[in-house]
Amino acid sequence: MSLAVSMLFGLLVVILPFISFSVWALLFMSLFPYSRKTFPLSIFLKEWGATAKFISLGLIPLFLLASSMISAGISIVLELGFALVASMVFAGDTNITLMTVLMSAGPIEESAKLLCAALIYMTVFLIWKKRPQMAKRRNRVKDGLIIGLLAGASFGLLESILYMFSGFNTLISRPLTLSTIDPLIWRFTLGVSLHAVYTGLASAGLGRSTLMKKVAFTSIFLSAATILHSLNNGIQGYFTLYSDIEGITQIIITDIIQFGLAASAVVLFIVLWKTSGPDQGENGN
Amino acid sequence: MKGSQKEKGGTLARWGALLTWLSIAALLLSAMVFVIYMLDQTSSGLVEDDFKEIEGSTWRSEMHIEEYSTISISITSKDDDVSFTLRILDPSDDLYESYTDTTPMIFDLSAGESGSYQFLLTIDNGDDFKDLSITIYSYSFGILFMCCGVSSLGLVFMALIITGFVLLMVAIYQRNRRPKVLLRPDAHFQQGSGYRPIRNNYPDQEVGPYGYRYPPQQYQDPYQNSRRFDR
Repeated sequence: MSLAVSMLFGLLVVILPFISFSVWALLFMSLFPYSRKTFPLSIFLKEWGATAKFISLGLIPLFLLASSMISAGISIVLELGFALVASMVFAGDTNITLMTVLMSAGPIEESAKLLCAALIYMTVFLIWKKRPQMAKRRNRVKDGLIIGLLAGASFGLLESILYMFSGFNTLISRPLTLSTIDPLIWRFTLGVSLHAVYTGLASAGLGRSTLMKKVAFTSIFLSAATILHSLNNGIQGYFTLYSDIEGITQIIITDIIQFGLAASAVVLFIVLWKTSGPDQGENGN
Repeated sequence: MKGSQKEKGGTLARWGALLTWLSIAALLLSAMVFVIYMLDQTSSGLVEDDFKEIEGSTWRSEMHIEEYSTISISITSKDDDVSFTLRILDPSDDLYESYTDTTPMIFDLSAGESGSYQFLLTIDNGDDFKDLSITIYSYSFGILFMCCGVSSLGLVFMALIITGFVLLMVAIYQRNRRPKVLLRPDAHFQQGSGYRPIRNNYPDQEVGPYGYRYPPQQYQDPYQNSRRFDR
């Protein structure tokens, strides 16, 4: 394999997740016009004019980078710790250990991403509190959902780059088959967006008006996101480690179930968005 | 026009935004260099098809490895617990390392000298070799690669993002700094009469800094900007 192929694959490893992110962001903004007022992070700066637009533009990569680093850092540490404990508890049974580790990614990653979304929302909230005129004619619940989407997408970008590297690493040393290309297709289509939607769901409570509502919505939708995420990982693990179904059939069945789970997460998010009050809603719902 | 506070904030914000985005570009470029290097190393490695049977249940392959490289070995199978022995012979045909284990086995080891290393794999319990998935490749992070490639781009990233962040913070500070307040020319005669001072740096806003509305026609004062009073 020549250096040119390595360079092409290296370029794709970094570029594909960003293309996926951009396509999904544009699709989202065209479907939900309110997000154009908020995305990308001009929530607390939109009234300021030209200077604020540049400040907002400059803050986007900082927010994305900080969010991905914090959530990925927390996730890696906790998942490694959990894997260590699982390997000691289920010593001797590799399959159960692997399944437990795969399933644990759901609660750990969703909590870490929600933490980042909450930190960003708190920053925005403090600025809104200082300058109340900026919070007028805004729907805070939808702003919370969008912040969740961004926090999730930033984590998804980082993770997708790592998985893309792993996928192309396999592709470069093995023949082009469905089993080698499938992980790349899956990561390109859903790697970034699914993480975004899960965190969007988990952020349902951020913009609520009372503490009770915040706690209730966060509990319900964080659980939903966690279950969907764990199921998504668990299905992959089950078919790889336990099922007798092999080859192309295994890949297709796994993909169908995973795309079904992704579709249910998207439907749940759309329902949440549609029931979050009018776009011009005043301070909380 | 003499550089006003708003303009200073604007210039800093522009540079801050440019630098933060450039830092991301540097980070991605750094990641790309690293990924290309690793992919290039992998592409010259071994997979199961490169092993040739030399005697019953024993397969052999060889690979050239540079000195001070790391050899990454991964041997997995669909059904775990396939027992095998992997022997690695160094360029002088002496036994360098030997491992007896069951799948999955994923580990790294260091190569001492440069040359052609042989890998001899023996399946202990007679399972089919074709059930195994093998990946062996070597990589070494040369000083030139680390300094000129990843590290320098990483440093550029750090420098750009820190500078961009500082510029943005200064721009926000300048933008938020309490502006000078303009009063109506006769305001100082009316203190305590319910009149509130207005700021003139929100000319396009219908909502004033204190949250109340003041349509421009309400203050048709030809002398509005004629005198300036600090608060």
